[in-house]
Order: sequence, then C-alpha cells, then structure tokens
Amino acid sequence: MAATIALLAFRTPLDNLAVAGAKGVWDAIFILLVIWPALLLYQIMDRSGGYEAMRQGITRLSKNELFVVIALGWVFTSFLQGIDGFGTPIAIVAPLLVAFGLKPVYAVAIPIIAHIWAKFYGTLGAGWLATLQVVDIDQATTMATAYQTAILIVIQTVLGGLMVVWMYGRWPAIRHGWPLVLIISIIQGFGQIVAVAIDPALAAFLPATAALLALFPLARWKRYAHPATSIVDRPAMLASPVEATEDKLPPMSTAMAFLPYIMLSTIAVSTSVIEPLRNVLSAFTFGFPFPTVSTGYGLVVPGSEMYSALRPFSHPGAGLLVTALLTWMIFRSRGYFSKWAQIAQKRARGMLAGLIDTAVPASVPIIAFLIMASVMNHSGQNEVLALGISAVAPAYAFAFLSNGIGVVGAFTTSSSTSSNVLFSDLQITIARLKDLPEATILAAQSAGGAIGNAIAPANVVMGASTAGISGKEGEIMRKTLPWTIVAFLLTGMATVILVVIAA
Amino acid sequence: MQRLFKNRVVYLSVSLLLLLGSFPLISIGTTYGPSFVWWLGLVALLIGAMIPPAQRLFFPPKEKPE
Repeated sequence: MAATIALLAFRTPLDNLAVAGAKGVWDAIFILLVIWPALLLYQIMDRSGGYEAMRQGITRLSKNELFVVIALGWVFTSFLQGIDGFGTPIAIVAPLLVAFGLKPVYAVAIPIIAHIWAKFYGTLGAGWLATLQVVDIDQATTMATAYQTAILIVIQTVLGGLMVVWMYGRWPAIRHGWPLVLIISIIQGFGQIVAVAIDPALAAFLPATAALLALFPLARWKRYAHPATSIVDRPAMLASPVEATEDKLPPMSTAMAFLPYIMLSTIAVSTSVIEPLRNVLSAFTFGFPFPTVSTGYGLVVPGSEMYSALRPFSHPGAGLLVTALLTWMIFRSRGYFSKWAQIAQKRARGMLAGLIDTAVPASVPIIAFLIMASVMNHSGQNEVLALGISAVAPAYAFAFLSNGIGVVGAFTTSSSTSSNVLFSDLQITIARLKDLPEATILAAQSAGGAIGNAIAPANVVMGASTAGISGKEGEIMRKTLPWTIVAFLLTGMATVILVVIAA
Repeated sequence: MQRLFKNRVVYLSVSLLLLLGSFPLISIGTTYGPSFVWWLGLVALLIGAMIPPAQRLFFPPKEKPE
C-alpha cells in the first residue's frame, strides 16, 4: 500500500522504491539479530525448566501476585531495556509472565507499556546518541533537551506503573498497589532526571538497576509479602492465585535459572562501559552501498558508501548469542534438558526446529513494516505528514502535538531511535520557524518516540510470537492503544507547560 | 504449490529468504550495475512481500469454533 501510494501520488521511481525496500530489509536485520538469539535463549530456558525455576523463585520472593507482576512485568523489563533493547525485554519477559499465569495478551501488553519509560535513554543511551547525530544544537540546548526529556518521561513511568496495576486488578489493585507504584516511579522517573547529570547514556540503566535492587527490601514489606485478599477480580490472570499453582520441581535452582540474565547484564555492561573492549568490538563494521535517489517532486535521499553500518560484535544481539550459547553448554553439561523432559513429561523436540517455528513468523512482519517505513521516508510521505500537522497548527497547538509526530514515527518504524532519526531535525526546524524553545520540542519528540513503541507493530508482533499467540496482535494493541492516547495527551500538556515556563 | 501455502513456516521461510536475498542484489545492482541485478532484487522483494498477504487471500484461516 505504501509503495503504491509512493509510486502513484509521490512520483517515486522504481529504482528509488527498490533502494527504499532494500534499506528497510537492512534496518530490520538489526532487530532480527536480537530476536533470533532471544528466541534461542527462550528455547533453551523453556526446554531446560529454567522458566519454571525462575517462576517458582520469584513466587517465593513474595506471595503477593501483584508484587510479582510488577517485579517481572515492570521492573525486570525496564532493567533489561536499560542495557539491551530492540524488543529484547518483551521477547524475554512475555514468556516469563505466561509461565507465571498471566493471560498471554496481558503478558505481552504489560511489558510493552511498562518498559516505555526506558526506551529513550535505554540500550545504554542508543536513542539519545542517535538523536545527537542528526541535530545541530549547542551544548546548552543539548543539556536542556536531556533534562526536559527526562522530565517528560516521568509521565510514562507513573502511567506505565499504574497501567500495569490497573490491568492486573482494576481499582482494588490500584488501591493496594499505589504505594509500590509511587516508590518505583520515584526511583525510575526521578532517578532518571538525576542520572542524566551523571551520563545520559546510563540515565535509564542506573535507575532501572536501583529499582530492581529495591525489590528485595520491598518484598519484606508486610503489605506486599502476603496475598492481597482485597483483589478478587483479576482479569489479567489465567486461573487460581499463586499458592494454588501445582508445581513441578525443576532440575535447577532459581539462582541457576537467573544465571543467563546475570551473564547477559555483565556482557552488555562490560561491552558498553569498558572502552578498550568496546573499541575492539566496534572496530569491525559491515554494510552495503546505496546510490543517491530522488522522487519526481525533487526529494533527494543522499547515497552512502556503507549505509547504516552494522557492528556485529558490539550489537546487543552478539551478547545475547554468546549468552545463549554459554547457557546451552552449561545446562547441557548438567543434564537439565533431559531431566526437565522427564519431569515435565514433554517429548524432547529439536531446539533448532523450535527456533525456526517461532523466529520465522516473527521475522517476516518486522521486515515488512520496516520496508513500509523506509518507502514512506524515501517517497516523502513522512515529511508531508509532519509538515501538514505543523502547517495547520498554531505555535502552542504544535507544541502540544509535537510528541504526536514522535508517536507516528515510532509507530511507522517500530523504533524510538528511528523516529528521532527521522523527525528530530524536522522538529527543530519547525520550532525555529514558530519561535518555540528547541530543547522542549526535541524533548517532546523524544518522549513521543518512546510512547509510540506501545503500539509499534514490530513490538506487538514479536511479543505475540514469543508468548505463543501469533495472530492476536489486534487484541494486544487494543490493550496498549488507550495508554498510548493518554500518555500522548499528558505529554502534550506537559510540553505546553514547559514552553510557557521557557517563554 | 498448495502444500507450500498451507504450511505456515514453509511459506514464511520462503518469504524471509526472498526478502533477505533481495537486499544485496538491489544494493549492488543500483550502485554498480548492471541494472538487471537490481530488477532481480526488486522482483524478489515484491514476491517475498506478497507471499503472506497472498496466502491470507487464497487460503484464509478457518474460523475455530468457540
């Protein structure tokens, strides 16, 4: 559809469409390099009883189901987003929540919404660093953007936590869970504002880790140590409360089940923080050339000797793959696969076949969406969309709507980073034209780029495939869309307030 | 052909391979030529992208009874 519109309405020649399509495939490879190892790790964990051990371990941490849903769905997902990204937290946490007893649609919707706050500064600052690559702003504006983005993201933190609790058990759950939401929101949201001053690249990772550590003392709080009897209706849960679940004794301890995630965190942090190691791993780059292409309306996309160079050894997928292979070797040497096959009375099926069964159906839609995004970008459809909004909107109305452009960008590209790469420069241009503060508008774009991930097709498709509910993407989106609209409206209002303060 | 379209993993694998294969053909063809190389890539891209919707159109999933 996007290609037909590009061809007929935007005068995009076929060679331009071919280049756009090929770039879309290449952009998707960055995501697939995370999905395939993540799904391999999922297969390894699933077939060794690792998820069952983990589920039982977290259940023992607290008998309070809501606490566990928050711990896994919000805090653990955010921690993973702080160091990794590209949808990895959803791919890892959705099956964990299913194993815990959540309905698969909720098991996907909860981590999608809950990790949004960590999108922009997550993956060790990937979105922030990419944004700085595409805009020309001075040091003072850069720092103002960093702080104002962190301020706007507080909305996503609080709203994300409340939504998780609401999904679990509506108003009774909100009444029971609000102190926990408040504490974690302060650690994550306000922690991020403080962490920006230390290093924006660590602004999500540091508070996300602090929140994870805070779970241990919080689990001892009487309010969250025992089941919440006041929450009767639990629409997100499949069956009976946690203590009634019939457990099969897994072949490994909880600590052993968490070992892959400890390894993953260690690898991700080491390869990002230890500069000599990062330099060695980043030294090898790989990419393909593309020529300059243009449309009949004069939109020119410059060529490149190496389009969007891939650094395969420093890509998060490499860390995931190493983790998956090490986990497989350790678990195999300890005989976990055969022991769990006996305990669970499951037929041991080929791991590779299982990987292909899940990864191929997840990969094709992701490539298709990124081709669509690239075609829209190359043909000028994105620009027309953004300029149309700015043309009809007065300055304050534009300030209100500016995060919406980020939402649209993230929806069409399934990436907050790509949304910022696409629209940051345009937002700055419009801010200058309308005499609005550049830092605030860029912050709104960044916040919107994160919000749009809640309805990003690639996230939804990937979550659905890892939770075993491919084809139910519409149901997941119906859960995440209302949150997206509320977050967009509140961010718009906060942007206007920031503009008024700056005036 | 019917068999191919009825096995989800098989037709999606074909689609995936065509999409991945199209990328280097288009890059090399549009940058260095000859032009038939990128045309080949474009055809692979189109077929790869059309397989999933074509499957849904010609072999729609049967509604499961409630």
